[in-house]
Amino acid sequence: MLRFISVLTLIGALGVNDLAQSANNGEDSRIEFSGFSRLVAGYLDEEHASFEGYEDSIGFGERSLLAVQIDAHLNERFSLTTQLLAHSSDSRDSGVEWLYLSYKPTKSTLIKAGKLRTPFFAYSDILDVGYAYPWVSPQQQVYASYVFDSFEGASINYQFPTPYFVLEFEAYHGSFKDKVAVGEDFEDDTEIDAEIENFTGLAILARSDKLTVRASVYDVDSIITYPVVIQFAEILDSLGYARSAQSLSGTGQAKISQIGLFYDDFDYFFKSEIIRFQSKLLPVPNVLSYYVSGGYISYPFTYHATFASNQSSYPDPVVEIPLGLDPQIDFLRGEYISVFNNLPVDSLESLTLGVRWDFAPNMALKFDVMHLRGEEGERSFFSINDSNQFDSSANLYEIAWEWVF
Amino acid sequence: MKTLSLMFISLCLVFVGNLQLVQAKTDGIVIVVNTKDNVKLSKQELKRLFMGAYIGYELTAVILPINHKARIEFNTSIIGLTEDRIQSYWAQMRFSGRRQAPQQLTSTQDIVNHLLNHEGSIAYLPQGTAIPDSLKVVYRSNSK
Repeated sequence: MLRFISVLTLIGALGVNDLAQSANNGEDSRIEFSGFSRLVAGYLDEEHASFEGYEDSIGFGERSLLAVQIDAHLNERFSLTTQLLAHSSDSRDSGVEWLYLSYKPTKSTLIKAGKLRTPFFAYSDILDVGYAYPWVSPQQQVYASYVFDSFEGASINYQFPTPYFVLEFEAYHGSFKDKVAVGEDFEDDTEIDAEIENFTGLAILARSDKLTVRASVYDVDSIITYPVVIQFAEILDSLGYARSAQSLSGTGQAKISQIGLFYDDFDYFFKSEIIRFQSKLLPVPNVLSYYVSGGYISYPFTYHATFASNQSSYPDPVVEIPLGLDPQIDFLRGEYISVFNNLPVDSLESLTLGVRWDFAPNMALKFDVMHLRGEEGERSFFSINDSNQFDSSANLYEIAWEWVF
Repeated sequence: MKTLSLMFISLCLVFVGNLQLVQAKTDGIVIVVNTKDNVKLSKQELKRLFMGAYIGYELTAVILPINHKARIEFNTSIIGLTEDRIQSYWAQMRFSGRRQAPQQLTSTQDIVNHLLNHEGSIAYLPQGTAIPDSLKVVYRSNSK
């Protein structure tokens, strides 16, 4: 919070002259209202598991939402923006999604400070704005909830024009403190306290006529509080198994890297992103994921197909606690191994076929069919009711009405 | 039968959409700027400028309403995207706090008046629009 206030103060100090000048010149300030809404229904053809809250009955409550954005333009260079969101899902909080001050000292530079959405991947900061992308929902394998979706801090965007393309640099710094879910099981004990001390990121975009390339890297210093595991680690440490205790630590660094390629022609598009999530924090997996998507546009219809995949893994347990010396030590060793064995693993492949109909200005209807195939014996983003009956595959049908205003 | 009807309606919509684009292409556009500088802009730079990117000039775009023929032609020949994809782009830019879409005015006369009163403003207009001498034409389409 101190950082948040200090960044706001810094931005204010940088722009106070502009504000004063604006007041002297009598420049008009104005307030703009805009927003977006989506109504999404989904059905999963599987009775022994659910996926992203969807079950084998039609549900409207997982992704439907309404948001209003208020932009108060204080002058040509300063604006204050807030975005208020009402979400239908129990796993999402309704309320203030954005609250930031923007300062645009030149046409090529934009500085923002406040509560911002995390921009890890190409669509991360507009996941709720369904109108902005072709699918009903971006691929879960890439846009999973391993990561926090907002932070308090600042960002700076700088554009550097060249004759052939525009280079954009975006840098971020901030912190985050909230509960996050390891996977999608918000309702059970995989919801954990997370505190991000330092979140630092850099994204570089090169935009040419039709091709956009985006590469980004992020570092986070995390403190993740998984109470049961922490208590167990303390027991191990007190018994002299320090390396084993350390291997259960939720404090340390995580790195996220991403490369995206986007090609937009008049009647077709191609999109692909690959991300790598490297973590030494036990409850957070190492992830390598990607998607490849292509679409054909026959206005006002867009037909698209997307393949997505991810591999998820955790570090191996440390071999330190001896076996066969004492039944109590054996029990301790078994418990230590079981911590790793019980961590949810979410490897998943999916193929999505969909159509989008832009039937009116700023409105669209979408229909997607997604075939999901998880790894046998893994969770694969499913919430499994009966693992004996579930073969780790299912089809998800989603229909959405999108509106921006 | 329902499926056939749906397919027929879909084909009609596709046809009407494409027809709209083809008709618009026949009129031609000019791109006009109010500046004292010697500004030369390539088609790629015009696209970037109207999509909100900084291209090295202090220029601010204004645009005509949706479904105006000049806008449809501009989208087709300069931006290279359909209106809904441009709106999707602006939804992404606006709600991620990166850029604001160009100001939209209601008529070609409003555009001309705006250009005259705002140095650094740039806009497209239908070919044949009377362009005051103080404004510079930086692009003229070959459609007509």
